Parts: sequence; C-alpha cells; structure tokens
Amino acid sequence: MFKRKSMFLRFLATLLITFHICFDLIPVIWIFVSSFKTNFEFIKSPIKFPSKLSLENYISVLTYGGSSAEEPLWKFLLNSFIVSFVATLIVLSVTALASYALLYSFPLKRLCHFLLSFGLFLPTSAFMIPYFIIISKLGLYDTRLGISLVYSGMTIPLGFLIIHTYMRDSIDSELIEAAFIDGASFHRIFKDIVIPLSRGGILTASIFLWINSWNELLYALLLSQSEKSRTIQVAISSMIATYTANYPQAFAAVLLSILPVVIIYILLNKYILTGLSFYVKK
Amino acid sequence: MQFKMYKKQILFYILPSILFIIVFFMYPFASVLYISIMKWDGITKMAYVGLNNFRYLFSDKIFKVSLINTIRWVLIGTFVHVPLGLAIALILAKKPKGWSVYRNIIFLPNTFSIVALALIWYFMLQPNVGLINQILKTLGFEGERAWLADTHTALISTQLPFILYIGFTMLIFLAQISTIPAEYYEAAEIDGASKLQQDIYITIPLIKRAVGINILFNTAFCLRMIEYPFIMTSGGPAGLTYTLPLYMYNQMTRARNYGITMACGVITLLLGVFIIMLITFLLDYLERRW
Repeated sequence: MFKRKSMFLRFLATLLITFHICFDLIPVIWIFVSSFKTNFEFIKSPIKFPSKLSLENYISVLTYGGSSAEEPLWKFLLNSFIVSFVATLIVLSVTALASYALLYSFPLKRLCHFLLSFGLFLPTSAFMIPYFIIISKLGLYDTRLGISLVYSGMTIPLGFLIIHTYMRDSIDSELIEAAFIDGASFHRIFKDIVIPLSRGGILTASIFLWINSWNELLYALLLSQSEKSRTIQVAISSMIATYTANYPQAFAAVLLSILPVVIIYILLNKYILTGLSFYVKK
Repeated sequence: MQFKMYKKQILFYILPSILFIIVFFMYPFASVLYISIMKWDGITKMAYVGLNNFRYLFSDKIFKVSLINTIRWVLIGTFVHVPLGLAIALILAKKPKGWSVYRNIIFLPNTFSIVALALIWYFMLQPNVGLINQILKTLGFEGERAWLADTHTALISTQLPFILYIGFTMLIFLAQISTIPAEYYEAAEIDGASKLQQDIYITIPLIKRAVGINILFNTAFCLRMIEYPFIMTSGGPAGLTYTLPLYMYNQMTRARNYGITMACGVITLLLGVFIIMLITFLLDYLERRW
C-alpha cells in the first residue's frame, strides 16, 4: 500500500516536470526553427522544418526593419542597451552609497531603511501620470535619459535590497572599526574596504537591474515618441500590427530581443541564483 | 557601529537615494491622490470635481471588468501560480537526476520580457498557423479555434503564460529550501516519514517566508500587468481581457482623462497596499506562532 502510493507520487512528479519542460522549450524551439523560413514556406506548413537555413530574416529586420518598412531594429536594440545601462549605473551608485551609510547606526536609520524598501511591491503602474509629468517638466520627454531616470527610480528598492543585504552579511563591523582606528576616513573605508568586499552583491544587483530595465514596456511606451528613444520592447510590441504580413521576420525580431538576456543568463547564471536568495533573507 | 562624528557624511551618502524615493515614490503617491479628484486633460487648467471620477469609474462597464480581471489575476497568481511553483520546487529539491538542468530550463523563460512571451503566445494561439491549433489538427480535432477572440477562452489565454512560467517563484522557494538543515530530514527518515510527509511537516512550515514573498511578488506583478492583454488582445474581445493598467493606459493616452486615470491609480494603489499589509501581517503572525 505504502509503496504503491509513493510510486504513484513519483509518477505524478515526473509527469509534471516533463509537461513543464515541454511548455518551456516547445514554443521557443518552434519560433526559432520557423524564423529561418520564408513567409510562404511558413504559412504553407507551419510545423515543417525549413528547406534551407538562411539568416535572411535576421539580416533584414536588423538592417532595414523587414517588410514592415519601419526603422532598422539595431537602433532600438542600441537604445535599449543605453537606457538599461544608464539606469543600472545610477541605481548601483546611489544604492551602494546608501547601503554603506546604513551599516552605521544613526537617528532615523529605521525610517531611512523603510523609505528605501517600501516601494518594492508597490504597483508602479499607478504612477503613469506623475512619471509623465516629472519627465516632461525636466524636458526629457522622448529621450533615452528620461526613460533611464524613471527606471532608476522604480528599481531603487530592488537595488537597495540586494546590495544592502549583501553588505550587511559580508562585512564585519570589527573590520570597519579597525580601519577607523587606523585613521581611515569615512570615504576611504567605503572605497577601499566596503566596495571590494561587496563586489559579488553589486554584480548580482546589476544583472537584476539590467534585465529589469531591458524588459520593461509600460514607461518606455509612455515616455518615447520617436525612434530616437524607442526601446526594443516598444518596437516589437507594435509588431503584430506591422509584421503580420511576414511571420518569420516577426519571430526573428522577437528572438533578437531575447538574445542579450539569454547570453547573460548562460554566462552569469550563478549570480542570478544567489541574487534570488536575498529575497528570502530577513 | 556608533560614529557620531560621521553624521554629515552619512547624510550625504543617503541623500541621493532618498531624493530618488521622494521624486519617484512619495511625490507620485501624493500626485495620484491629488489628480484623482480633478478633471484634467493634461493641457488646460485642472478643475476640482470631488469624487466624480470615482463615481464615473464605478458606472463604467469596462472599468468594472478591469477591476474584476485584475483581482482574478491576483487570485490566480496566489492560488494557482504559487502552488504550482511550490510543487515543482519540492520535486526539484529532492535532487532527482538532472535536476539542475531542469531548473535552468524552467527558469529560462522568466528572463524573457513579458512582451516577448506575449508575442510568442500570441503566435502559438493564432487560429490558422498557431502551433496549438496545428497540434490539435494533427491529433484529429477539426475546426480552427480562435483562442484569443473567443469570449470563453480569451481571458484564460492571456493568463496562461503567467500561470505556467513559474521559474522565478520556484527559485525563491528553492533558495529557502536549501537553507533547511539536512539533519531534519535524516531524523524524519529514521522515524519512517515518507517523502510527502517530510514535505508537509518539515519543508512547508519552514518556508513560510518564501510563500509570503512569492505572493507579494506575484501580486505586484499582477497589479502591474499590462503586456499580455495589451499585446495579445488589446483588451478585447468586447473588453473582456482588460486589466487596471491597460484601462489606465487607454484613459490616459486615448481619452486623455487624467483625473479618471488617476482615480483608477488610487484604486490600484489601495489594492496593492491592502494586500502588502495583509501578507506582512499574516507572515509576522505565523512566524511568531510557530
């Protein structure tokens, strides 16, 4: 009786994992394989392998926007790179400074801690109009910097959570006290002791922040108007309207938008795993 | 550490991030509340209208659908997505052969943007060339189903990718499961507890924190949800797949009703704050009791 029950459970578990792996892989493989076909070939037989492997769809969307006659995709990829890079840099620098300061005790420390972390779970989609007003007032509407600033603001709680937790757990207060007694200044301790010791946390945070900004849609949509600030997500989000004439080109565009993140995931997988453990720490 | 003399430096180091919080969280919060009681199109002068915007919202059919759908997203997140993530995490935590490969494959789609996932599933569910209908056809089911245009299947079709892609949720569970000392399981093994009993009586009570955090993350994700309906259905058919953010987006960019947009923002925030408080309270309570 006992044995049979555990065998049944084991069977269920295998089934669940198998199904899930199929759901994870099949759509991506289908899109990937189809992205090498011509449109004619795809519509005629959507599940056959392509007759020849040609990179034509990729080249045409990258260089002249494919059959949609939009701007070439590389421009939007570049915009996204710049936007997410700048946002990540801003968040890393301000949250590293704050996390270091919070290693000391001072009045209102609890309040500061609360302020920096309460936004983590807030539905920032409710801030559409205020964010739009702020960026317009700064004269940054339809610029990459405007989008970067909003991304920085939104992800400060996330950056703070990771970097602060990492610093708190990996830096011994005695070390700082010893450096202080040796005559190191507040800034010197930060630069020469704290930053080198929190490298792992900073790298982890930067991956999370970068992916977050790369993948964001709503505020990129609201804050950009022309192709000079349009991000890749905005560009592909309007694709159903413009690309339906050519499915395989649309697939190629989607895969190009995913590629950078997949590369990061393959190379820096380890840091993503440690990063997630910060969420469950007290 | 107590370094009174550093007061000024500490202030300098904290100021930039507090400034960002003021500009991007505190000011917006106040601004949302303020604009929600105004009539404004973003260009001409604002006019005070009291609670009229809220009255309008609750008389608008599309708003009611959006609100109900967003609550459904949250409920599906809490009661389907999170338990599914937990089940898979519990299976992988037993470290079956090849578990780390499975883990990496399961997490992979979670690194993609929701835009990309929404597009992929839009193509998957396409009536004539989509893979789902192609598979059904080879299995012998005739007739092309328009999953995203059918009023019965549209909403669940937009939610399907979210329900399935549990990678992030699973990894948070795995992260906390890995902190449980192995001795607990060894002792249970000696006492003759089955694997299922070990999961129910040891693992699950010890990962309450991960459960709470996952519910919070998924709730925040659902309250921000615009991409799936925006890309897969544009809110259709007949407005049945609208969510609160999509409603706000259309009120802002198409109708230019800024006051109504922000009244809807107030309701989104209230929902968010209420759920955050509820979960943190429950978590605190449970952690103190057990």
